[in-house]
Amino acid sequence: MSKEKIVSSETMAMTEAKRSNMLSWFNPVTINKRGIGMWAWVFQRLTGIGIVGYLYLHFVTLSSLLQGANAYEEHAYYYASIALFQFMVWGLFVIIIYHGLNGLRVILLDIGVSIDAHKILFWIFMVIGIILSALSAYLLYTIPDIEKVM
Amino acid sequence: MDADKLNKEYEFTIKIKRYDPQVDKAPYWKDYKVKITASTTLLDTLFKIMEEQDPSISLRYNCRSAVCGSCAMLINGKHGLACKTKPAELGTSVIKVEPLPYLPVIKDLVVNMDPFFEKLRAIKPYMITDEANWPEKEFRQSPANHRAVDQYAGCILCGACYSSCITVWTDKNYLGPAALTQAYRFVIDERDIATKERLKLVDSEDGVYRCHTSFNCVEACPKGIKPTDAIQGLKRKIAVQKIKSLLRIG
Repeated sequence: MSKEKIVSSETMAMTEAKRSNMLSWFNPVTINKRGIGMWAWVFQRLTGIGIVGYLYLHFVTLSSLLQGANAYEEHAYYYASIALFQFMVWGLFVIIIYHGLNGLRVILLDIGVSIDAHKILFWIFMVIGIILSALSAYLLYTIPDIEKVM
Repeated sequence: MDADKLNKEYEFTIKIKRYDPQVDKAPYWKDYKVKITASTTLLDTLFKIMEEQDPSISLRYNCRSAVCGSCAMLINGKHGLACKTKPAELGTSVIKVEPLPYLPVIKDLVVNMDPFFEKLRAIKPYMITDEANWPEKEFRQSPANHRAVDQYAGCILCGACYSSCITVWTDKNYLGPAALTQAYRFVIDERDIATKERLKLVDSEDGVYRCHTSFNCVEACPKGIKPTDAIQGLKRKIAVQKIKSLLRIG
């Protein structure tokens, strides 16, 4: 990948002030007339950050394995016993489902399939996503207690 | 009867974002009440305001018929050409008019388009032909190829797509939808011979791969061009070209 300098430094300096960080995606001046594609992408980024955040939590939990299997199980049972954490696990399912499905949509767009129908494609994937989210909630909250099974 | 209907005037409030960087500290809104007919364009409305109320408003315009691309602005939060938009068709009697966002304001509705044109120049927006073998009469183009090129050749360089692009807002080096669309226009044109050179030019971090397919440019384009189509087309052409060069067949 060549990183050629395409724009002169003079123009860059001039436009520097106008550039902004990711808060500009939520700029109230232009926020009201955005299309679905824009929001699909913004949520793709935000869910991506969420998934990376979960990854660290995952490492923290796994690191208790260093203290032996019992320590890990204690840790896991502790989390499983809190209702909020159970709800957050479902939240994790939802953002992974969104990220995955919208990722598929973007792959399809990259291949060149259905660029004209990208909005319809988004809603089709979102309906699939809602069904999968409901299914995951059903499974999460009806999983039999592990202790009883064992 | 019909003439009466056509000449009937309705009152609109036009809110214009005024800003003179040499005088004002920050942009401010100024309201103008104006009576116009249902068929008056926003550009004519602005002229009327300038004639009757405030001659100090600055704006760019030229052809008044959506061909020159000078009067692109943000109308009620949506990108559009002032000469193509009718206030009566917007469904509201209060109309907000702003300069194109994320481009430096020179005065009022006039923005500095230099970043936009600089990037356009970077992709060589002109036909490169085989000068040694020029045809005797004219360059031939098949009707099918013309139909493929036609959509992208309709670009009027108004800068609406550039100022609506999420990547342009955060990456100052990104080529932008208009420049990439023009690159694609010449890549698929069968009369142009510099395809490989052009693909190499846009095959970079600040080229096609910075496009996140958010379709803001498609929503913004006043001429109905789909820059996302062109950028995705470029991505595929680059992929095919790379596979070919890997297999030593092209």
